Amino acid sequence: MLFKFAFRNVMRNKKRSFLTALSIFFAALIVCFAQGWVFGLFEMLTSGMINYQSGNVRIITEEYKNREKFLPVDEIINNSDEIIMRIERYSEVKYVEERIRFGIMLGKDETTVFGLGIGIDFDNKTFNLKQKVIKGNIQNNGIAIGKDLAQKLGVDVGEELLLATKTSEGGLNGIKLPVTAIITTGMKAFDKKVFFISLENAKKLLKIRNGTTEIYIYTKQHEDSEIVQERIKEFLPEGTIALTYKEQLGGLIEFIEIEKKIIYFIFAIIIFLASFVVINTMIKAVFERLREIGTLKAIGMTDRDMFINFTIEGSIIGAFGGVLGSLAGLLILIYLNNKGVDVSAAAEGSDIPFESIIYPPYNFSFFVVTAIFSIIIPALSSMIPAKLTKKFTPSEMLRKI
Amino acid sequence: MFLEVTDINKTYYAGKVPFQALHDITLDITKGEFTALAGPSGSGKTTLLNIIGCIDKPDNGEVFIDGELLTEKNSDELAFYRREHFGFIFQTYNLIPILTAFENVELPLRILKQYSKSQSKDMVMQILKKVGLEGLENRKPLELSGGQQQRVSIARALVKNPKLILADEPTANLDLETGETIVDLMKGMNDEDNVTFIFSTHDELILKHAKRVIRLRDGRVIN
Amino acid sequence: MKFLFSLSLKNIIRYKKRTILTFLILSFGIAFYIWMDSFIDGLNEQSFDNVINFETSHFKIQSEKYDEDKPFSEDNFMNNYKEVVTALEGTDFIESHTTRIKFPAELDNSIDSTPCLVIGIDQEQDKKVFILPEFIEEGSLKPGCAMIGKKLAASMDVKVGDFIYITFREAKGMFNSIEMEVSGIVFSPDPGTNNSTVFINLSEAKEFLNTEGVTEIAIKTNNRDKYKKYKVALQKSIPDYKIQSWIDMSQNFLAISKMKKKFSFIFVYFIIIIALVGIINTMLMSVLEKKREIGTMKALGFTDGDILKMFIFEGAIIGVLGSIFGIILSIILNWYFVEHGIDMTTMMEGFGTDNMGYKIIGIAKSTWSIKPMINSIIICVIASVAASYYPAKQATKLQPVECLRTIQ
Repeated sequence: MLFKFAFRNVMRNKKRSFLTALSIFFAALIVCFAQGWVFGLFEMLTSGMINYQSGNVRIITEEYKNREKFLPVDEIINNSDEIIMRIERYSEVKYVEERIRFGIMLGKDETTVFGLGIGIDFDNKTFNLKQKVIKGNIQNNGIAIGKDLAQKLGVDVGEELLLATKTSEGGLNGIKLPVTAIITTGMKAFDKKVFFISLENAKKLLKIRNGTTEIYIYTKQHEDSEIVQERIKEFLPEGTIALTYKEQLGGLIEFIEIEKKIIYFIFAIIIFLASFVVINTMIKAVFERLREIGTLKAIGMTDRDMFINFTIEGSIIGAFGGVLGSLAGLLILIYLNNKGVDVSAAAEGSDIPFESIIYPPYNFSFFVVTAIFSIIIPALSSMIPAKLTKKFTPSEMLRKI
Repeated sequence: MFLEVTDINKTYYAGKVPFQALHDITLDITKGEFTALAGPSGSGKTTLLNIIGCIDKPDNGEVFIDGELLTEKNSDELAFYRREHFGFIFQTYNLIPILTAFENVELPLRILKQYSKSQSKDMVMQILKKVGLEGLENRKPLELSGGQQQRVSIARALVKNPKLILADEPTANLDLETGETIVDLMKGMNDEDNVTFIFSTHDELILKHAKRVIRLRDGRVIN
Repeated sequence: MKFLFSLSLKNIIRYKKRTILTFLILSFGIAFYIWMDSFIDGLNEQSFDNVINFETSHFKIQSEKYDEDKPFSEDNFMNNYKEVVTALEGTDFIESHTTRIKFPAELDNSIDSTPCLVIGIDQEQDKKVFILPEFIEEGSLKPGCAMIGKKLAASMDVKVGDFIYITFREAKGMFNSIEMEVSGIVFSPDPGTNNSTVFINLSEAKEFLNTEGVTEIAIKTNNRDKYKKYKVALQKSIPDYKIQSWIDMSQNFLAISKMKKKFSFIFVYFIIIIALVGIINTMLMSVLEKKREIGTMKALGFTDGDILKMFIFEGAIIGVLGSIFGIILSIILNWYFVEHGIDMTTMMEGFGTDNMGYKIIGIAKSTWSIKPMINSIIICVIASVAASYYPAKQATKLQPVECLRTIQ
């Protein structure tokens, strides 16, 4: 009965209720949208980092970890093939990849550019290079080079590039390979410095035998990372370590956790601000209905009944705007997810693996979380004006015209 | 004694200016009385009714009903007491505009929570018939005339068979003819069901219908 | 007019609580906006300072065909730089100038190697333009030696007195490697200088590269804000050179700032919409409850225009109050970030990056910006006047008789 009563009171002044709900609507809309946007970016960032830098679990030598920023090629995991084969059999594991990364000074004519070479199996699933070719095609005995790097060097498909660098044995070695594909990863930071060659060529260039520098393990679920890590630890050769992405990206994950809390707090504030409109409307509703409240109290309704009544009334308005606003926010996310947002300007200067066009993810949970926020906060806010009903005695209220 | 009021005083403040509405009021009412409080406006009729009806508190003095001291109770206890034992009729009817005539009358029963839905429906229809509003039960207050609205409000007061009905100027907003029928209706209820009525009025013509008249002037009983 | 305005003011004071609740939404929205804008301006300001003090000064003059990606090309060097300097002598706004050679190389500590930027400096001239000497933490740049950034030194694990190898390509395309002693460590707030720079003496750089020229001339003027005017003047006196001002050199992070400001503005835009809905709502309520007053005023001879103005003034006052309070809020909020700032180190490390495009190390501080404050006042007043138009129009539509009949 209380609900029906409150609902009819909401409908009594439709224009005002609508405007009040509208403010919650916009608040919910922006909160839902921002959730997709911000958390989407976080999600992209983490998964980008996992894909390109940490794997779910990564095996390297202990010394490699200390010198990682130099991408040492003399820190070799021996018998890597055997290790990979063993891990591939785990049911939690999606795939295992071997990578050899090396820094190199690339030169062509007068140009000198620092490049990052990555030796991979060209069928590699993480980089999925075949889908990223914009010119030429991937060949096992060639170079697949990032678009911006190719442009800087002034090389095109068909031309040869001399790769010369320090080997694992300490000396210098060089091989000439043809550029057979130009690729784009969608990430500026990558496209301007990365090129790929096959594992065989990388090992030949760097004189790495019977081993590799890094093994990346991708699990079916992120949560399985620790389990896999434990199992690997049992047979890891001396001097090598297996690290989960959490251990490797600790700073980033911690940062995201803190940031998430701050953002939820901001969300709450936005909806609370919009709830000011609800508070205003309800104060007005209480004052214009004093005589009714007096009558209802005379009939025998308690202060608590009246308090609940007005709280429900405000909550209905808030919930109406909140649910629709969350829905609208979700729809905008779905739209942007299909269309994509160009953030290349922001991605330009930073060296974070970030794609230039972002497709903010949408998730039904964004809707649910926003709806919960925007139902609870206006409801709590409605309690402030609902309390006013207790302030007067019934006879005082009856006396008001 | 059914209702006893002893040494009631009440002072209001209009800003900082005190105004004593009631001076040492003492009176007794027996069960089944049909009593009018008479006096010009400002004589304290409404204040006295409100204090008897426990929707206002006296500065001092006591109100007993059936030997129970009401002036000691807290606001929730009073709400529960009113819900069971009192019926109110107001000068401006004070029907809830968002509810139909039927729902307005049903409201006290819903609050009381003693009757099933079908029971209360029967009770409401019966009382509406008694006040002559059969067929109008689905109208909202704004779709009814003043007299009809006051009938709804009488029905609302009577539906739960209260011990006492307090009516504050029930006829003041109505023309004389309608006013008289309303008072006759109340009187009929009083005769038939032996419900105690106290009503206030400043209209001498209406006063003729009362069985007992208590006259007030400047907050004092003068007869 | 004045009378109508005072009426509006009285109406606002009459419903204090409601007015405050209404304009508070506006205030919070713009406080956030001002703070965000000021903070981004603060980041820019710090970055500008670093760019000017360590990298480019106010103007950088390079050979016309200069190409960063072809560092050893003959075209990159100005062999006749002395002529340029002579040509610029007597230009009244130039305070000082210096010449530098920059080239990329690989720094090797005999175990690992990392890319770095080698800068050859003329120490006597350089300190008249840049403030590098103030940030030398240890030692100095001695002849035949190198001075390197602190972070670079730390990551390569070298100290003063250790030897490093610098590998680079000569103009003729041959690789060359030189062993040098580290004689100084520099710790500057500029990430580039700190993380990846090796300073050597200009004369030695010329020797290594086997060139007579330099790659750039840095010019300090008497007023950095007149960069547009000065650039034109410079272009006139030395037309065949590439001239870039400090603003031109900062485009990278300015683009990021612009993007960030845009995002924060979208956010604020929504809060302002919420506030506007609130204002419309409040004003409608106020019109409805003043029906009888409006009727009376009309009966007394007020025109529709007067009534309209009265309510629009009410809206404008809400807007002004909202912006004033918002500015006060933002000053309180911003004060903390101007005085203390945020330590970006953890965040940067979290992202595994050095600078996120900005040229800042460690603590990022906000600044005091007037522009967003003025913007806020304009936005608030226009928005709230616009929002009050509809309710005001409703008020004028009421008929006097009708109004008087309403019992409230």
